[in-house]
Amino acid sequence: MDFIKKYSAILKMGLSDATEYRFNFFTQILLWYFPLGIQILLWSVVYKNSGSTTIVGYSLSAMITYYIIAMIVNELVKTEGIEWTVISDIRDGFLQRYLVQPVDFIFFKLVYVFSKKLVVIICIIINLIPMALFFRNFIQLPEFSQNILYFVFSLILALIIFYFIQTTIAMLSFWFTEFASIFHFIPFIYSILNGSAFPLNILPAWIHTLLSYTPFYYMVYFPTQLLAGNMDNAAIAKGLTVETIWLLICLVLCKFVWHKGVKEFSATGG
Amino acid sequence: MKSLIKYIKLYFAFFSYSLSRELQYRVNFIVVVIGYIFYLVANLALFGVIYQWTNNIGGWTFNEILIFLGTYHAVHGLWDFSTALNVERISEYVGNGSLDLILVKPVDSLFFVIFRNMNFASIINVFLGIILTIMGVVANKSSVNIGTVLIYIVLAINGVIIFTMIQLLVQLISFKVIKTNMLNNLFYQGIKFAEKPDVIFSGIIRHVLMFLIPMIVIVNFPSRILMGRLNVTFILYDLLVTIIVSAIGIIGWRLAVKNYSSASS
Repeated sequence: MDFIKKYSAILKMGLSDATEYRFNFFTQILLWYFPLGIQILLWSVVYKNSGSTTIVGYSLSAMITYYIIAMIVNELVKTEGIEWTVISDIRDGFLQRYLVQPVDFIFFKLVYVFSKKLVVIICIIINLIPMALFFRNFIQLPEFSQNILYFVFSLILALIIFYFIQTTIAMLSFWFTEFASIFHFIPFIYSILNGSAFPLNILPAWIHTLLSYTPFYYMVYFPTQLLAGNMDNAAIAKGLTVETIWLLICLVLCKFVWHKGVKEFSATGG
Repeated sequence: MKSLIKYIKLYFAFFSYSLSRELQYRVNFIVVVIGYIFYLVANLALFGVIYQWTNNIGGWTFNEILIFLGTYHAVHGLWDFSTALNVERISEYVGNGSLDLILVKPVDSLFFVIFRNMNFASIINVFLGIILTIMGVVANKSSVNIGTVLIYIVLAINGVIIFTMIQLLVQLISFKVIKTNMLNNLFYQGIKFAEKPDVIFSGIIRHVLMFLIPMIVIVNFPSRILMGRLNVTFILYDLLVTIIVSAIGIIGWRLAVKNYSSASS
């Protein structure tokens, strides 16, 4: 009971932080129209020039629908800048606060991410209708099926996996002082590998298969294809298994780095 | 003449100051260099994938896309190196009052503000861009002579100037009108229009990007020179846009500074 009380307090705290910035988030969503518009223009020209109506099975509207879902998924699995707070906690010594309190630092931050996510979800839902109207000529509504449950499940796993990965990288600041700019560039690496730049099955088959064993595959591509209804049962089963395994690997890695790091932190007398 | 020498000297002083600062943060430098390589790879990957399914985009071949992407990275890198991070900091100067210290210095305040720091790690983006451009030119068998290269360099530098001035205007408006960083985000999304070949834009969008918010001019014009796809009228138009945008930027700065001083006194 204590456990729930403790972490629901954290949840509330994150919620109030996030609602404070809801205006910024709204304007942020307006900015989705730019990159989506550019993608539509680019792919329209590509389809016109290629002379065929489908590219690896995607019609133009299926392709655009993919990008729209991928963009929303991307927004849902982002870690909301938690890595910067981890870095500043370690570098500026705020970490001590957590060490003397009866909370698990990693779990604390995760709950915080989830609470911010709730506000993000509300903003997305409100924005969904105007966006659907704006891009109505390019959207192919996916058939809703039991896949939506798998979709939600895989999204939650993806968010936790990427929370662990980002936090693990951020915890390197136990040892190095000035590498934070890496977080400005990591999005580029993600965007090629996770399917937000283009659907991964457009790549040669062997690269696509190889990527399906990396965690990036599950960040955007897998949930997006689940929702778009482009995954058969075998692929879903395999995907969710691999994703769960990655979750466990990342959990262990994150905890390991945390324990090593805290030792380093206490040793240097932080 | 004397003041020109003074400003050149000042620029070199900024240069050596920034360099010595950069050398203190070597890990950061390496991280940024690796980051830029990934940025380039990410951009190349998208077009690499697209050209598996078509041999041209609006008439542009893959080799021409290499020229375009190379030029984009060179212009963007040069902008990041010279002014981008400085202009971004203007609202910070206003917020913490350090703009006062800059205004009382016996040099042009705009010069000081936009050239104060140099971001040396970004030079790698310029190098990568130039290499990619040369690869594209060679593969495309473009006919290139000293003249086209010179025009290319001028137009690319114009691109950096236009980037800087538009960014400056956004900063000036945003600290005057809107307190959130909305406009700034809009700017960073807006420059994505400069990141794509202009052949994908048609109709009203093309006109807006050509004449109203000249995003097409920044990267597409210099790239087109190396493809042999730009005539003299457009070269003159590029120069005209650079002059007009610079004039608006400089006048905007003067007005903002004037308002600022009278507001705080």
